[in-house]
Amino acid sequence: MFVFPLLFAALPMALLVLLLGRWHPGSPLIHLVGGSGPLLSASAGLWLAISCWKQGALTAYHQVVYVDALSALLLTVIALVSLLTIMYSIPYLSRDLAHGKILPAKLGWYYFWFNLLVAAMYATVVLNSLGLTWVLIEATTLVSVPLVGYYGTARSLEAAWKYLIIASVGISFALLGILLTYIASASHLGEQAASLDFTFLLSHAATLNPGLLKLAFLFILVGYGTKTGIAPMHTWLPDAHSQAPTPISALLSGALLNCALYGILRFTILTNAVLDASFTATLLQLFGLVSIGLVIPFLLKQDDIKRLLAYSSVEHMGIILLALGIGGKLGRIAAALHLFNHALTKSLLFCVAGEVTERYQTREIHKIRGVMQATPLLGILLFVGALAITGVPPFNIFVSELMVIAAAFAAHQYLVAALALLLLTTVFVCFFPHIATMAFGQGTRESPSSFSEGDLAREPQTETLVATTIQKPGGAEKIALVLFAIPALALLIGGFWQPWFLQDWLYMIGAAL
Amino acid sequence: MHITTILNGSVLLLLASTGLLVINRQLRLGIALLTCQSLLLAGIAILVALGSGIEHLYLAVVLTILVKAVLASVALGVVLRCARTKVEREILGRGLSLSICVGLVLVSYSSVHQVQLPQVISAPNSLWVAISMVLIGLFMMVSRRKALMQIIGLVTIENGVFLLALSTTYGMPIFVEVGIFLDVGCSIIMLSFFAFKINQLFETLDITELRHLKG
Repeated sequence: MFVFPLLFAALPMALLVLLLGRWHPGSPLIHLVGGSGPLLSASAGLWLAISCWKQGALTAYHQVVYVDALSALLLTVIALVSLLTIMYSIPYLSRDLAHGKILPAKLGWYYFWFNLLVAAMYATVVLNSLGLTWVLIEATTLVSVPLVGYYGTARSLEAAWKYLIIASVGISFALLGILLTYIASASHLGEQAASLDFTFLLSHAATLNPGLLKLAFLFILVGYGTKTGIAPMHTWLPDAHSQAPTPISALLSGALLNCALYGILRFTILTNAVLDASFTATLLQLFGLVSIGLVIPFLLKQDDIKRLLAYSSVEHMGIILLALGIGGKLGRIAAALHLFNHALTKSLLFCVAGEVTERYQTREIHKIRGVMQATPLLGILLFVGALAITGVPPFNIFVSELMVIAAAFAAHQYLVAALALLLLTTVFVCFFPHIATMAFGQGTRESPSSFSEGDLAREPQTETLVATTIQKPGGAEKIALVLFAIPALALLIGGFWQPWFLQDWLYMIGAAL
Repeated sequence: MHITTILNGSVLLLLASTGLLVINRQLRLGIALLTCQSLLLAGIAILVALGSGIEHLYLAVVLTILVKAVLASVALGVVLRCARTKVEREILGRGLSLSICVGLVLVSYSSVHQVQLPQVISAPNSLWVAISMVLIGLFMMVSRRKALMQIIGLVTIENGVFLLALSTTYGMPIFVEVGIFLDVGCSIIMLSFFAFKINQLFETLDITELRHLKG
């Protein structure tokens, strides 16, 4: 299988770009080399996903690698999101370099960590051993922390530290869960390397101790849940996602959260094979509903556009868990589709929001007005992205959210359905006005006193019309906008019509879950 | 002396060193205690390896010494050298901290008897000591204000998980074990690096200074 080595093309590229950054700091070649790693890996990832879709689950290298429909979904998500974010990184970093926000010597490091992160994410979703999956999920934390703290400011250091500490504690709980699984497996099947392989465990599910598996699932859910940003363990997420460079925010929300979620999904499959499905269902629904409900006040009072989007990620992770908890064929398909839809929509919306904050030089929502008037294409993208993420028809997330509600009705869980409907409507009411006023609002007169710490600009501006401080887009930014328009169209099409292969594929994933 | 006696003795010493970490306020002594703890754990692993004849445990011993004793003390030592204050002001009093720890130990002692865990090594105390170490490490992470002590708490948690793995299944499968050590090593380096940066920027290792991101 030649695709597996190619999947990790980002690894040598990471080293190459680091060396290049040493020899020619700030050279444009760094963008090219740094971008080629994720590009090669993404092509291998998509190739692998397609061959899995054609041939069914495949294993390689003596069962070390295992790719089923669930892995294929994650491979596709990582490939698409990393492609979008690496392409946006180039204009974004060039601008930061030109404005002196970063030093030329640091440019190579950005691509170094980016490539490592991409490689670690791919490895997470193709390995068979649950233990190695844990090792890789921890590795994704370690290589994404330098990206969160990339700007080296007080705030980004604070975010990076909190992320590192909270995620490390969470992940050690998950390790306890893995250990308990290994105890359950090794006490019957012997202490061998295969005793933690997913395929091996699944085929010997009947011999595993249900009590130990119950405990293990709890630890895994809380442990990986911390990294997935499930409430109430989500406290690091808004900090990390708002302080990172915007392409990284998009990558973290769109791909990295899903990698940790993958750990939970895998383990749910195993636990459901050992125990009655109602055990996981109750827990998943509970955490799902809490995640959706708990973010509502934070969305309502939010004045930082990137934190707004970060809290919305917590909500959507909750929806995926809820869908999985509701279960049934429809629920599982809804979970898979929602994972896919959220990854695409949120990474796009982060990139668009990043462009808006660059133009206005602030992240504060009350200072951003009239985007539609100032830069129509950007305004339309922002508005479309917001409509899509809040689940308004005719966009793709509406379809998956509707499926979640329908699944709840189909499973006769009327209370859950009613609660979910109520919460999702409230989320829309709290989230959408922020974006609507940014897109259509009139420029307001600002006084210097309202200038606070969240501002990106270096020194306080004197009294100006906000609308006049907008920076005109350069060539690279225009290309970025065209780039964003492609996934935005896909969101719209996804709401009307799902191609036959996607439907096929979703059924496969539903069956695998 | 009988090997069981030595094993049991070292496990209890391990708990004692963890207890000392909780009441200790000198950062330098904290690093020394952590090194002691890791070396004791390596010693226990050697005894288990000798008793069981499982060869891959020797690799775990070497990695424990290299990562959790040598690397941790060197990395944390570098951070400490750059820090100005080397003593921690208190959030909780010593008496209160110690009584919370005793409570945690009692909780682990009673919880071990509720979950039926297999035990492969001949030290009946190792299970509840392992779980106590995890809980005490967690308690240190939430109750301490110096970045350095949080790192020490995290390594204590990892040590507890390792002891639990050792006493129930002779450690994890070899590839996973090596991967875990690699991760722990990298996270010690990364945490020390960021503690160093925080110390540079805020001129203190006190993480209560990190309170700007809210809402």
